Amino acid sequence: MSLRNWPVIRQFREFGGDDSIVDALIVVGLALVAAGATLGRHPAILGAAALYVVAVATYPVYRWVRRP
Amino acid sequence: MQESSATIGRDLGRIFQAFSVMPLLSLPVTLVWHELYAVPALLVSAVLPLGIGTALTRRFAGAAEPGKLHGMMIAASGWFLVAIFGALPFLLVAWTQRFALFGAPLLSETTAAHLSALNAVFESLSGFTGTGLTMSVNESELPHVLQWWRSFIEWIGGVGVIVLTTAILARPGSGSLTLYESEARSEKIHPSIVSTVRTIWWIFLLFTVFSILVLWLAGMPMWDAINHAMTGLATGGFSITDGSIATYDSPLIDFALLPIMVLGSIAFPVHYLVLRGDLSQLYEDLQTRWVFGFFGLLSAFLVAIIYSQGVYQSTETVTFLGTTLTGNAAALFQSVRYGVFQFVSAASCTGFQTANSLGTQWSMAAQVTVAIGMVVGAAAGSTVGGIKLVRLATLTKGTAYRIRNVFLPQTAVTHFDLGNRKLDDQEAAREFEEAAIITFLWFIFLAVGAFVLMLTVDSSFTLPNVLFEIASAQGNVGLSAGITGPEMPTPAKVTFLFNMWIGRLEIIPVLVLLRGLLYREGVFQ
Repeated sequence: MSLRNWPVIRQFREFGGDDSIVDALIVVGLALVAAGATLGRHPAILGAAALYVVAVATYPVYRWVRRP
Repeated sequence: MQESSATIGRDLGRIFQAFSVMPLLSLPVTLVWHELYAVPALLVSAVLPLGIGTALTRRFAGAAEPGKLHGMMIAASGWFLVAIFGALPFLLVAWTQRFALFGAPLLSETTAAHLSALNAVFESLSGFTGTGLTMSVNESELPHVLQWWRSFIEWIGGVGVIVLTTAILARPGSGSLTLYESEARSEKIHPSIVSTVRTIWWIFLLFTVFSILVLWLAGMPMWDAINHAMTGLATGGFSITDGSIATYDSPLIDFALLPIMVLGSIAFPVHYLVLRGDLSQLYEDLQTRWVFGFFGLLSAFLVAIIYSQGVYQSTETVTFLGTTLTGNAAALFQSVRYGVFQFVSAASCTGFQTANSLGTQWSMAAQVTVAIGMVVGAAAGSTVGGIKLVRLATLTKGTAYRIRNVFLPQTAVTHFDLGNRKLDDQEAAREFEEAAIITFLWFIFLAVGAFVLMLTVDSSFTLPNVLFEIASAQGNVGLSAGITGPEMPTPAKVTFLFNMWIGRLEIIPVLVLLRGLLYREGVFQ
């Protein structure tokens, strides 16, 4: 069975939007928040968080560029 | 009428059931912060609404689906009743500490304010309406679980308890569209209202996670970042520090909060389209254009006022991103920093405060500029309160349209442009009428509230103080001139409760509910 059809993931997707990249961004963001809360300001987490913020902020531009 | 009561009762029951999940979701906070004494309080806060909600849904299981009238009454009564249930954690945690039950620590003076049921309801309604006026004097003294609860109810209230309910409990064709519309959000994203509200929550969740990480990177501790991201994006404004955002005294944090508050001020359908790559919406959508224009112009005006009046001339040095500014440059920097933040905080109806001197050193002109932001608000379809920019746009353009038409021949064919819509005379009149009615009612209730406050609060508070505070409550902003607090007289607290409530629901649903209740009791025939 494909990972995206697992019951929990399916429910998560059904509750959410119609964009799997946004789904992934939410999951990764939550993981970074959890990592930051438990491990503190570790350089690796800070770097990943900075990348994440840039990724979310530029995501609409990415979608705009890829529009048909 | 009995049929209506059944429909309302059944749907209120669903709302209570949905609400009961909130205290349960808050249980992990007690584990993380070792505040297990609060677990019974949260469990009672969950079980009580769940029991009442289940009883109501079973009792009225066969009730008819709601119409527009029901939708308004459910929205108005649901919002208030949920706020009453939302007061339970404040009340029960305070009483748990009062009697030192389950190993609870000593009761702090701030938490003690919530021993009063009225104070607890005030805090809860302020949270659910996204207002941010508070009965907690020193927020840092609150148990972490109550800090979280305040942020959580603002976050949920930001998009709406009823949206949450329709997203989770609604079935296709169950009248959820009516409920959704009555909660003052009429712009749709998808044809299906259920998928619309789910998408709204999806966007909200993405922006919340993004905001948490932005604030954390700017230097906030993670717990603070989580709470302030939730309340900032929901444009609620509850803080977990005693001095709001001023506590951090960090320009970087101030600037990091600006885009978060602006995100909360833009209509969610626009966010959806932008996330799908339609960047043109940022300038093509009338409301979004007005948000940027209104925020930009009035912020610049406010900065000019406070800089020209030399409010921050005594600032000797400021360091920002490794650059040290002195003299005039430092004064200008501080004017921009505080002026832009306070205007965006007011107009987005967030109510975060960075300028401690707002009520003392800032001139009346500066304070009035902030008040204009509070009254007008930002985009309809976002999380903000106030009259909303779309109504200001309609009234402004509508007035110009009416005057322009006077000079045209009677046979002239005209149309009224509102954003991308071209309205004929009849449609224009309807839009204009709707905007005028809401604006008129808004100011009527503002005046009534101010009158009651003038009679009840300490005489040292001036009329501008009173108007500022009541506009802040009714606009669901939360900036305070110092009137709101646990020592405030009971009639003043009740007045604030009413103004926060009608402000969140844009008045009409509350009036419909009150008329329905009076009609039922035979008072209004």
